Amino acid sequence: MTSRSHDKRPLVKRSDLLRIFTFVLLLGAVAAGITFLTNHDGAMASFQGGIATITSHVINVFGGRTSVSGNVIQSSGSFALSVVTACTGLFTTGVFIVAVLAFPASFLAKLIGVTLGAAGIFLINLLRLGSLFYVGVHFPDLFDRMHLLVWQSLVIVLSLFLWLLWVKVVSNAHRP
Amino acid sequence: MLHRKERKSTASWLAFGASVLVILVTLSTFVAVADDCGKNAELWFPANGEELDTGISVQRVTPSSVCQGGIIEITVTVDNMSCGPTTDSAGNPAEFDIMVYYDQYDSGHLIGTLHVPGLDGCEHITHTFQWATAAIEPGTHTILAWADPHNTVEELYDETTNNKYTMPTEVIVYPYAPVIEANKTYSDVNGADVKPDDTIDYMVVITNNGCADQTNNPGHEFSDSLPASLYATGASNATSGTATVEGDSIYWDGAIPSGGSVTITFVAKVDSDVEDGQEICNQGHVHWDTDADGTNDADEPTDDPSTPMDDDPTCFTIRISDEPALVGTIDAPTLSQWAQITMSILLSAAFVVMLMRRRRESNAS
Repeated sequence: MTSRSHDKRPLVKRSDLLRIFTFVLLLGAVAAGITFLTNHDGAMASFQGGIATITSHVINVFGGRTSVSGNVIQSSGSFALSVVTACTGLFTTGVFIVAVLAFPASFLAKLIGVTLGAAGIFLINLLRLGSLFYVGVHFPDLFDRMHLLVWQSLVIVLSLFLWLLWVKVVSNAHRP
Repeated sequence: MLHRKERKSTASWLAFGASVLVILVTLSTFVAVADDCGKNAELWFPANGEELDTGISVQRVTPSSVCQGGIIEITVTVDNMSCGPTTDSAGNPAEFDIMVYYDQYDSGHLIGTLHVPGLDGCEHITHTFQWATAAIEPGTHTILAWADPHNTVEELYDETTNNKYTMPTEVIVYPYAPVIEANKTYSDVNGADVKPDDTIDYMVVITNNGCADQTNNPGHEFSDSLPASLYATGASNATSGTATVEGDSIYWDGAIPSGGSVTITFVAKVDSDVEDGQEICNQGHVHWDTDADGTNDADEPTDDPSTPMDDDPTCFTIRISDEPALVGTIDAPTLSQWAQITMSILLSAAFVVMLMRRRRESNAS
C-alpha cells in the first residue's frame, strides 16, 4: 500500500500549468500584435514588398511573367495579387514560435525550432502565394476554393506537423 | 500743469535727444558702407533664372542630347555676390578663369576656358561655351563648371564648394549608328477573349532612335516565328520595305532612316485544340547594325508595351469557359480569422497533449 501511494505521481505538475498559462498568454499577445499590425498595414510596407518581390521572382523562374509594384504582384493580364500583412504568414509564424518557446526544451532546441520553423512556414507561404497566383491567372473559378479550403487547411496542418516534428525529434533530443 | 520754464527745458532735451539719434544713424550708415566696400569678392554660380543685382542668372545646356559630332552650347553665369571687386591677396585687381568640364574636373575633360579680367562688386558675367562632341565617348555626361580654379582671387569666404557647379541637365551623346527599339502588340479580331480558332492581328513597330540610318543589309531585318498553337494566314503588310510570310514565320526586309519607324502587321490564327487557360507567347527579333558597317550584328527582341517589363514577349491567355477572368487586385490572407482561431485551438490542444505525454514519460522513467 505504501509503495503504491509513492508511485502515484501527479499527471500534471504545477510547472506544467505555468507553461500552459504562459503559452496562452503569449498566444494572446501574438494575436493582439498581429491584429495591430494588420490594421496598420503601412508599418509593414517593406516586409510586404519584400515578400511580393521574392514571390514574383519565384513565379518568373517557373516561367511566369510578373512584375512587382510596391506589394502588388501584377500578371501580364488583368490579375494582380496584393501581399498585405495578413498574407505574409506572420500569425502562423508567431503562433509557431510561441509554441516552441513555451514548450520544455533546451535553448539550442528552441533556437533550432524557431529558425527552422520560421523558415519552413515562410517557404510554405511562398508556395501558397505562387500557386494562388497561378490559379488566379489560369483557373480563376478555382481561386476561392484553393485559397479558402485547400491552402488554409494545408497551412494549419503543415504548421502543426512542423511543431510536432520539432517536439518529437529536436526537443526530445535536447531536453533541458 | 507745467511751468513755462519747465516746458522749455523738456523741449530742449527732446531736441537734443533727436539730434543725437540722427547723428548716430548717419554715422552708422557711413561705417556700414565703408565696411562693405572693404570686403573681398565672393564668386559663385547662382541657380538658373535667379534674379541678380545686375540681371538674371543663366545656367543652361542646349540641346541636352546630340548625335556624336554635334555641338552643345553651355551657358554659365558667375556672380560676385560681394560688394568688393575681385582682388588678389595684396589687394590688387585680380583676373580669373571660368573653366567648363564634362564628367571630371581634369584637363582631359576640359570643354573650354573663359578668361575674365575681373568683376566689380555685385557684378556677374554670363558666357556660352561651344562643345564639339566628335571625339566624345557616346553616353550620358555631366557638365561641370569651375570659377577661379587657380585661386587668384582673394575671396570673402575661403571655400571652393560654391566655386564649383554641376549643371542641372545631363547631356546624352548618341553614337553615329542606328539604335533600334521594337514593340509588338496583338488584338483579337472579334474583340472578346481569345478562344480556339480566333484570328489575331499582330502589329510590330520598329523605331530607329539612333543617329545613323539602318540600311537594308544582307539577311532579314526582322523575323518572327509563331509558336506551336498559332499558324500564319499568309497576310502581312509593312509601311515600308517588304514583309513576307514563309510557313509560320514572318520576315521583313528594309531600311529605317534615323528617327524613323516602320510598322509591320501580320495575321495569325489560334489552333482549334488549345486548352482553357493556356498562355500563348510570341516574340519577334529585329536584326540591326550597331556600327553602321552594313552588317546586322545585333538582335533586339520585341517588347510588349502593355507590361512594365522591358523586351518581354507578347502573350495572351485562352479563355474557353464562361467563368470570367479575375480582374483587379486580390489579397489572399494566409489564414482567415476563423482559421486563426482553429489553428490556435489545435496548437493549444497539441501543446497540452505533448506536455502531458512528456510528463508521463518522465514519471515512468
